[in-house]
Amino acid sequence: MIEYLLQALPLVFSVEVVLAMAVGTAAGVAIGTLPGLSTTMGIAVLIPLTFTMPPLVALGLMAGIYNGAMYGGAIPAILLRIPGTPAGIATVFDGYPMAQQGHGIRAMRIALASSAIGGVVSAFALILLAPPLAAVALRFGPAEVFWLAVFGLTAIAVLLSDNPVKGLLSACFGLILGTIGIDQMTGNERFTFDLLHLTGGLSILVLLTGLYAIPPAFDLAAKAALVKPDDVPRDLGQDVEQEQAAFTWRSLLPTWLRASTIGVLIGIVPGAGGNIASLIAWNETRRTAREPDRFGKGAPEGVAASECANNADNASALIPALTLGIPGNAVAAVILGGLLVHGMQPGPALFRETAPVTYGFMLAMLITAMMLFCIGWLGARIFIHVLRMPPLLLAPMIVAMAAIGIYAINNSLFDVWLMLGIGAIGYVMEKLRIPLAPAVLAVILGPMAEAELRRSLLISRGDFSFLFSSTISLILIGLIVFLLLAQPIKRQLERRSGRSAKARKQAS
Amino acid sequence: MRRATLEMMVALGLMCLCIAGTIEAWGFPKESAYLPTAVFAAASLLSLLWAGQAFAVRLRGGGFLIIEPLELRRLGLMAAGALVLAVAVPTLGFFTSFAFLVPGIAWATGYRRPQGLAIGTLIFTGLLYIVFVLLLNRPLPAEVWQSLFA
Repeated sequence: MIEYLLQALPLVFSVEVVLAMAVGTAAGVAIGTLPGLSTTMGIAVLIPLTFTMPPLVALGLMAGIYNGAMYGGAIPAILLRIPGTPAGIATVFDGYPMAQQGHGIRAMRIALASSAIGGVVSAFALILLAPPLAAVALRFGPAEVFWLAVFGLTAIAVLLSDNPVKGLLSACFGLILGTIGIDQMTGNERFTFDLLHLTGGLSILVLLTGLYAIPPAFDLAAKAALVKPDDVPRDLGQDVEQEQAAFTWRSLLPTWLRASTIGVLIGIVPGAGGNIASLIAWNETRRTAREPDRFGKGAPEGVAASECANNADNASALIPALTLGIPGNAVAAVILGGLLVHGMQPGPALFRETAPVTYGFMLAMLITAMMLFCIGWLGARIFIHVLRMPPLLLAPMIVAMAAIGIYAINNSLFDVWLMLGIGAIGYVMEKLRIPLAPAVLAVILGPMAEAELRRSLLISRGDFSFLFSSTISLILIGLIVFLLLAQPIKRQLERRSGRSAKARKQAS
Repeated sequence: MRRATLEMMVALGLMCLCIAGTIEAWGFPKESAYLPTAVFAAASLLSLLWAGQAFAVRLRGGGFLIIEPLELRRLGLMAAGALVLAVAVPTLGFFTSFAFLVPGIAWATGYRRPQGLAIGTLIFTGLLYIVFVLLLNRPLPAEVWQSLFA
C-alpha cells in the first residue's frame, strides 16, 4: 500500500492535477450553493469535459466537486433556510437561527471547518480501509464476482428507493441499456435496431449526462425563482474579537470526533447517504449535550455535527464502491461511471491494474478536503453571490453545456439526441419517484456480471450448481435474499403493529 | 389526476413494453439471449407488481399530482428549446446556436433582464469556446458566420 501511495504522490502533486482539484473544489462549492443543482449533476455535466484529460486530472476534478458541493449545500441552508443539497437539511436547524441572530459568517466558518475535518477523516478511512478490503475481494473467483455484482445492484436498487419494486425496475432498465450493441462474447447484435451508432453500445457518458444533467436543468427552469436575489442577506455579521473570545473552536472537538465517526460508518453502508449521517450526528450531539434545549435555536455544535457528518460520508461511500463495485450513494455511482470512462473497471481490479491512479484518486479526496478549507475561507463572500444567479438563465446553460460536451466526445449528433431522450426518461423516472442510481450502476455492473456468469459456466462446462459451490457465494446469495425480503417483512410487521395498536386504542 | 392512477397507467404500459422486449430477446441466438430475456421477464413481473401497488393505493384514495400551469409552460419551453438546439447545431454551429438559444429560452421562460441575458450569454459562450476550441481543440461543426466570411 505504502509503495503505491508513494508512486501516486508525485502524480497528485503535478501542476495540472492540483489545478484540477482546486477548480473542482471551487466549482463544487458553487454547485452545492445553488438549490436545485446536485453533486451528481455537477459531475455528470463535467465528465464529458474530462474525457480527453489524463485519468488523474479528471478524477481530481471529480474529487473536488464531490467535497466542495457537500459544503456548498450549507451556505443556502444557513442563509436562506433552503439546503443546497439534501445532506444540508440538519444544517438548517441551527445554521439558520445563527444567521438570524447575526452570526451568519461564523456559522459558515463552523460549517466550513467541520466539512473539511469530516472530509479529511473520511479520506483517511478510505486510504486505510479500501486496500485490505480490495485484497480480500481480489481472491474472488468468477462465480463470487457474479454474485457480488448482483448483490451490489440489489443493495442499491432496494436501499435507494422507498419502494424496492421501483428500484429494481430502474436496475432492469440499466441492465437492458447495458446489453445494447454487439455482444462481446458471441458477436451477436442486441437491440441495435439496425442503427450503426448503437452497435458499439450505449456510452456511459451519454447515460450519465442524460440522467443526471437534463432532469435537474428542466426542474430548475420549471420551479425557477426558488431564490430571489433580494432573499440573500447582505449583512452576515462580523466575527468580531469579543464574540471570538466567547466562542472556542476547541469546544467543537468532541462533536467533530462523534460526527466524523458516524459519517464514516454510515457512508460505508450502501444506500445510506449524507442526509442520514447528518441527521443522526445532529441528533446524537443534541442527545449528549449538557443543554439540549439550545439545539434548533442556533447552537454552533449543531452546525458542526451536521456538516462534519455529511462530509465524512463522502470518501467512505467510496470504500465499497472502489473495492467491491457497490457504491454507498448516488454520487459514488456516478464516480464509478467516471472511472469507467477512463478505462478503469470498478471493483478490486482497480487496486491491481490501475493502482497508482486509484491511490492518486484516494489522495485527491484527502487533498481536496484540505483545499476546501482554504477556498471556502477565502471565497466565502464570493460564493454567497452565486445564490443570486438566475435559475432561468442557468437552466438552458446546463442543457447547452451537456450537449456540447457529449458531442465533443465522438463528434456525434446522434449522441446528443440520445442524451436528450435519456434525459426525458430520467425526468419522468424522477417524477414517478424511481431512483436513477440503480440504472447507472446496472449499466456498469451488468456487462461485468454477464461476463463472469459466462466464465463460470465455461469453467464448469455449463453446470449451474458451480454458482452455488463456494461459501462466499452462499453468503452473498443469503445477503441478496435478505435485502429482497427485509423491506416487505418490515412493512408487514409495521402494518400488524399498527393494527394491534389501533385495536388496543379502540378497546380502551 | 391522482398520482396512483398515473402510476398504474405507466406501469401497465411498461409491462406491455417489457413483454414485447422479452419476445424480441427470445429471438436472439441462445448465448446472447439469456440475460436480456431474464431481465425483460423480471421487469414484466415487476411492472405488474407496481401496477398492483398503485391500484391498491388508488382504492385507498391516494394524493393528487399537481403541476402548476406556469411550471408546465416552462417545462414545455425548455423541452422545445433543447430540441431546437439539437436541430440548429449542424447548420448554425454550437456557439451561434448558444448565442441565440440560451437567452431566447431564458427570456421565453420569464427572465427579463436584457443586461443579465447579454452578459451571462457572452461569458458562458466565451468560456465554452475557450475550453472546447482553444484548450481541448475539439472538432466542432463550423459556425454559420465562418462560412459567410469564407
